[in-house]
Amino acid sequence: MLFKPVQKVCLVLLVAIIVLLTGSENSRAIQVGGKVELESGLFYQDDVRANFAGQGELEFYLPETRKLDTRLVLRARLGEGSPEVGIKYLYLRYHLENGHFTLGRQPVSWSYGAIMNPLGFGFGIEGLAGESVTPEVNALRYFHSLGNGSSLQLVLGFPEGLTAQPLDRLAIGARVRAPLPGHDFGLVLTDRPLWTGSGPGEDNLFRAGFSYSGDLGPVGVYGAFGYYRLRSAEIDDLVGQVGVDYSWKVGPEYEEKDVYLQAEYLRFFKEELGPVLLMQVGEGNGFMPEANVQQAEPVDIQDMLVGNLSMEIDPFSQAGLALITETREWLLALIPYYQTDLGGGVELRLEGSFLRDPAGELSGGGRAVLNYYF
Amino acid sequence: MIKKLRISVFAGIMILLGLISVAALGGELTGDEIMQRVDENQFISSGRMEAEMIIIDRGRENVKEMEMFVESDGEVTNGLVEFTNPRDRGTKYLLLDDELWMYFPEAEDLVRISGHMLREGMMGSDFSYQDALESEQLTDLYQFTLEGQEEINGRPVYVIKATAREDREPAYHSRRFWVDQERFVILKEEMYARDGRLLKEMVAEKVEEVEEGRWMPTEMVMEDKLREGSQTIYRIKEIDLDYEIPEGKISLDTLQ
Repeated sequence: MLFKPVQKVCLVLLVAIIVLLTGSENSRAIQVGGKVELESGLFYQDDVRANFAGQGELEFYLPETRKLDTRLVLRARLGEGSPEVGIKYLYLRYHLENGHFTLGRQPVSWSYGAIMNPLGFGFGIEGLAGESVTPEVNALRYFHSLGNGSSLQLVLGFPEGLTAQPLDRLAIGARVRAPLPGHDFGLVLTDRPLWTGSGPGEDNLFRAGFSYSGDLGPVGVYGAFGYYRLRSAEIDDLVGQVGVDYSWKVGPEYEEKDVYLQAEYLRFFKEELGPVLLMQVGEGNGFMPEANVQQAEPVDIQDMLVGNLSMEIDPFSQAGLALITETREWLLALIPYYQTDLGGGVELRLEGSFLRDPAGELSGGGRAVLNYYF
Repeated sequence: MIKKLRISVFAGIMILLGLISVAALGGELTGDEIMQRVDENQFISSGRMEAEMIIIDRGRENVKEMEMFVESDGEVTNGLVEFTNPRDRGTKYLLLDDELWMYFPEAEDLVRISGHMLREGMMGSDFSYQDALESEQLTDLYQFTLEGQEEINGRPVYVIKATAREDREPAYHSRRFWVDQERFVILKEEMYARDGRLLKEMVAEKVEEVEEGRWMPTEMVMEDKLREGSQTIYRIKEIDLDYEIPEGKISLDTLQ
């Protein structure tokens, strides 16, 4: 799949802007960086399937001016089907005295340290088995500094393409963040079309809530509490999350290894909208792995326990075990992993997966991923 | 009056820069007086550095390149480190007094680092976050004893033992410093736990006159003694001690 027409238009506009920028007094040479990833894996579920895929990202580090930033990240994926080429990020950011406007395809992360954030503008994953998924949003975003690190963000998200959309097809969001010494508070409000797995659905999901992260003695703590409502279906729920992280050393004297644990529990108190959260994870990310949760069968969950335990093997390598489970149908995913820096910008990642579905069927697999950063 | 503080850029970077206050005791000078000399020599009110950090373990190497900014009014030290090597390009650490934040370029978001993480090695190096966050004067944290005089690479040094004050809990319960008697630069440092166990050792491999009459270590080696076979080399490639940092560059607001 080549670039879509709207992407071509955006690229042409961006090139024009780059030409203008590079002609300015503050111009610097454009730099290029990125990564190439090769993946090979086997997965068993009734039968054995093998896959081989490659993908890459190319980022252009564009000249900046005092008022204007641009970011362009392209990516391509080679898999079983036809090659896919697309835009990961493409935006313009205009700086004001106390903030900025950002227009285009951009990451919108409202993180407070949780692996699974129920109150993000999108639904990403952070640091699960050492990997993260950041929601990519076509949006107009306004950031306003309130001073001392506090801020207000307003986001207007829109579907891909430049066609007219009814207002309820747009996504809106607001976040107030207030970092204080030793604490980080957040207050969020979003309303956006429900993602169904194949695209935006008919209903809208409204969410409002607050998040917190801080320290409780030697333990890092965080959590969130929020209200979910499917507007058309008129179903609502309350969601709460508590999480901890802690690190310590193990091993014989003078050969000690750092161990890091993060665990969080998330519960839907009315047992109504748990599946909605799971379906939204990784939404709109067309480059998710084939076996991603977005394409899985809906699972009737009321809570989730997510954990990640990792240990430093040496300064270049770490091994870990990630866990996702819930208590209604005992869906379970166990992900052991090992990753090491081979030098020269090359990293190797080995990962297994052991899954138990709601029917009690077991499946599993493994994959090896080689990354080259340049 | 502005107090001259021991400045350490977080993640040990400023420690590597030798921005460590030392009570160099000897001759007519008291420990506090010598510490004042060291502080005056190593204090940075507004500076910029380009450096690389080479993490070595059993023959394997990993190089981290970075650009750093540090500013201090003598009471509060703030710093910003931006990594520029391909693997970590765009990743930033923001130190605001004793709070550490990490900026992820993929998500373009800042996340607060939990307190317990400050003990861990930064980016796999032998420098902990806590090394960096310790921006208080050593005289506030330690009591000093002159143990003797030695030579390191032909240069006379004071050997100074620092022991934590009873009401304070610094990152290391005690330290031992080897301070250049002429240039007031730390040429070697050992860090100890409460039980006397040697935790880390830092050696300045190269000292340069960064401006007239002002010397600083520009290449240092840190060994975390709890990680056998591991060491981290810190090498300053460019330093500007009079750099005017743009207003707001080292702030949560700018990185969001």
